[in-house]
Amino acid sequence: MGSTDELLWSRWEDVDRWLDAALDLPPAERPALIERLTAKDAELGALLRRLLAHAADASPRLDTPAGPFIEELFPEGAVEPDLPPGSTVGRWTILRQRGRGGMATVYEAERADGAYQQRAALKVLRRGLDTEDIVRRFLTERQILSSLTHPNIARLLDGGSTADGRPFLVLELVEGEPITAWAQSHDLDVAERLTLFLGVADAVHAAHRQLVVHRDIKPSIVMVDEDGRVRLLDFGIARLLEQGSERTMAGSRVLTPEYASPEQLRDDPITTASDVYQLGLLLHELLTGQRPQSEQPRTRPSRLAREAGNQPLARRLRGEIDLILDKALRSEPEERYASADELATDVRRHLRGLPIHAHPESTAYRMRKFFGRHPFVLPVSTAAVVALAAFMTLLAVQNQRLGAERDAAEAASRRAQETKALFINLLRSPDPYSPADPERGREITVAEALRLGAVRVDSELETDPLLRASLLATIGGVLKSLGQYGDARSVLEQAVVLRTAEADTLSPIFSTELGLLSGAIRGVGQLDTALAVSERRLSLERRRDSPDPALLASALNDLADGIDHADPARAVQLQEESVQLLGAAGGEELGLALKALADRYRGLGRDADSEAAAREALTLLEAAVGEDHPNTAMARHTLGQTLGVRGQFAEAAPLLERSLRAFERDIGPGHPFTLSMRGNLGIALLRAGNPARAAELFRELISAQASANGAGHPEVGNAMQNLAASLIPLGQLAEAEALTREAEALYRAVLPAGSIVITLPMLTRSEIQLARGNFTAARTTIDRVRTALDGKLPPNHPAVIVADCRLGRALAGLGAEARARTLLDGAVSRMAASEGVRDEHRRECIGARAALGTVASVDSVAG
Amino acid sequence: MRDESSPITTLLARWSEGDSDAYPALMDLAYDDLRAIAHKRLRAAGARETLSTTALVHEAFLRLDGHSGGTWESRARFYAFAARAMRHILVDHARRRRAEKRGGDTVCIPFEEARDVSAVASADVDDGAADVIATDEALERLAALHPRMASIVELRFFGGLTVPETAETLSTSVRTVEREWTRARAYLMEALSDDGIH
Repeated sequence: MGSTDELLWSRWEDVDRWLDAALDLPPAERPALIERLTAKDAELGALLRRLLAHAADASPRLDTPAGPFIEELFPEGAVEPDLPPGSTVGRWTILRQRGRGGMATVYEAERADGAYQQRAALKVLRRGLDTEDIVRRFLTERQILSSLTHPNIARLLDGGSTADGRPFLVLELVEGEPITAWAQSHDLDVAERLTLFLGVADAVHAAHRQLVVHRDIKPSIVMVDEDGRVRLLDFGIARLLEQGSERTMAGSRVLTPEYASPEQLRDDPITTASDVYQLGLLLHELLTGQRPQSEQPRTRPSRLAREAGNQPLARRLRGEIDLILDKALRSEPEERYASADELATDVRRHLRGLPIHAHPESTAYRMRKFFGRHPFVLPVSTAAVVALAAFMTLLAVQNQRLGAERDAAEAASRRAQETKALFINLLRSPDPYSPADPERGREITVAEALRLGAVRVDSELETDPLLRASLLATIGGVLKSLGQYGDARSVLEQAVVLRTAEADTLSPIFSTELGLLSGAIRGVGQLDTALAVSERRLSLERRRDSPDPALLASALNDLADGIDHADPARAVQLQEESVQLLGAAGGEELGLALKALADRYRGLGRDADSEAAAREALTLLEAAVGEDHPNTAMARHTLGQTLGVRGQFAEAAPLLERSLRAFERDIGPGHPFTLSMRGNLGIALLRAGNPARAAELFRELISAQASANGAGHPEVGNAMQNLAASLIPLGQLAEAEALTREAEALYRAVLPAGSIVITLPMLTRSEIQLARGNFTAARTTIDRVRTALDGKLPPNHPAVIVADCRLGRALAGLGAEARARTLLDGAVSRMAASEGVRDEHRRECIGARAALGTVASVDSVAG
Repeated sequence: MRDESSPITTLLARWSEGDSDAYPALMDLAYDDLRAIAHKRLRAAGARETLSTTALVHEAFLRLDGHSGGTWESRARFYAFAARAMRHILVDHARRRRAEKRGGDTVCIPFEEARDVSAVASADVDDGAADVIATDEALERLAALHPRMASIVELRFFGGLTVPETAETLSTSVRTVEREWTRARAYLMEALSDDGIH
């Protein structure tokens, strides 16, 4: 949005008062008011004039927002069940619909190839519910289930996407009854019921060990099959406890009020203790046939039985069972059994006649260890050497600040000494993993040394877990900066786990560690997991009694990174908030935040805003860290990218070139950032009219991507496709054509079958074939493109128009002039209504149409 | 325990208190009805008739609520939910459309021909997408300044309620809704037209 828009929002209250007043006047008197305002404030006056015009504008633009979409979103006739018996989903054949619940429709299915004998439950996300939130939730369930294997948990057999892109899960099909009904119909006695319950508690405990909290345990999802085996179903609202943490985030109340734990009703953070409570509810209902009362103190189970007239049951429950249920159902989580396993242990001891642990005067314990606040900022630089130097400086700072704390002074200085010694030692140590391949560059050596360091930190510092955590975090941060995301992640996870175990989660450094961890997880491509970590970090920062602007800004940046793929608009808001917070401080942090903001604006098409932010970022960073610092190079690259998008290739290319050089020098030629930069520079050069240099870059990029990601990676195909496009203006058509074939074969091998990307090398090839006068081959290529695009894109999509033009050209070349004319006429007229067609393609199409009849000249237009 | 309230009433109450987990559950319950509402609205718009969305939403609510007909309060919440759901579905959809169009990511500019394929530029659909997203963004800003004005827009623009229906839902006067709707509409058009420059 531009400046006038900012005026509207920044002075909205004024604006609103004026507009309200103006609208109260008869229309004839409004101009006078506008003039009065204009005299005082010209900008505001102009804005008021426009607003009054909008208010009088009767166009229905805002009255029918959904028009073009509703039909495609809610197609008539697309009524569920959408998968009739006999249809196939992945490797499964649908037998019948079993029900609709949760977010999904559940079908009974069997393996189409008979590889799995039993029937299974196939759960498909319902059509139209595939908004980002809900898809993410569905994928979480899948991720959770894939980590759980337990005889009492329904197994995940398979998963994937349907032909129309909705995710599905295939689960073990459990035919049976809910646990309470089964116990009733089989007339189980108390001991048998308790034994049955142990299967449930064990399953829940197994889930907890995998850091999964079920959150919605109730009789209807605990099924008993014909063989009497219990199965826990439906992890639809389960959550992953973040690695090493005891709690899930607040704001996650469960959806079944009758079975909610008190903390779920209070909207407090949910822990495994919540599942312990729900296990208590389940056991209560299983034994007494009713749920416990909600008021405290509640009536004992044995007394409920007596009141119901069941004296034998009352006697059986009195004493130990009363105590066990009381302990499981305490309203304060910390007064309950500490784990599902402890609950199960008491039930087992009771069954064996051993004394149980639940005790009438079990006391509450609340322990919060507060360690001193240790201001500690981790290096953000991308260069290993810079990072290590920064680390040394920070040690000094840390030492000093720690020293200021009376109690901790001595420990702090010892700690800093130890750290320094260890680190220096580490860098001196001979590197046993010295890389054999010299092209891998020197940063790999440092990375290997760091990995070795992580092992050593683990073994040498067992007695000081907090120091161990800090060092691991530092090492992880540098590994992450080096692009070694997998290693960085595991090292950072150790740090977070250590600090959590030490209850040091309120210290600022913990927040920093979460930030590094989320970045590393993003680096390995697990976007949803990374997002959860970032959300947690931000909520931690927002909850602080006295928020630290730098930390809060850093958490905002981090979440903005993490959420960009799902909700770019929110990412921009978060980033803007961070820029605002850092505004006063200026310097490097503000520069980096502005650089990120510029990238996000560009992603949303706000190219002018992006350019302004990028220029400001570059100026700030040049002043703060110097012209050649990697962060400055990043900002320069961002500016170059934005200028490229705005068509200013001449200014963009040198900026991109310079930032690429800086990255090759400081970050290493094989780093993922460096590789992306090389590709971007190539594209800018090609657009700027320098195909020779572009081709050179793409040629290098093909081998660099192949050695970084493997020869079959789509990035290799992209580089080939781009090289082909650069070779056409250079007249090297034979090589270009061969490259398009190679790229196409590579895409076909790795991309999903229907991907439109596969048609790109084919389109490029058709251009080459036409340029070489090979009309028959061009026609065959274009026919295949048109078949692949058919129905996937609207007819006035640029790609479809270009394909039509090329087919027209091929047919003209083959002498089928009438058909060629029809195709070209259609393409030319649709082109007029379609803005996305690039100029050279317009010229190509119009030229071909004009040339019809004088077929010989078509080739010269093709150029 | 809240035995007398139906699941939809409970969920609506939780949703309006800010429980984010209630939303998918509501979507699940109400999706088919929302679909029907959207459809009838579309047909009504084609026929150039005004169709009371309230009647449809109310009908949907009665069917979901089952016995009680719900309190007035929970009916109003349901309208608000329906409008919010419509907004989410539309904005998600429009955003996906645009992501396709722009071809996605920050670091890698799409390569030569990719530019064509990624430009889903069927003019009418694209204008709609831009409007829906820009409205959503402007609405966020307006909500921070004047929550009721933003609610009015949400109910009118995304939910399709008429002015009197909106007034009833927000328990305010028709005159207030009219005045604020006129102004809010002018702000959004200003934000939208400015956005169109780029």
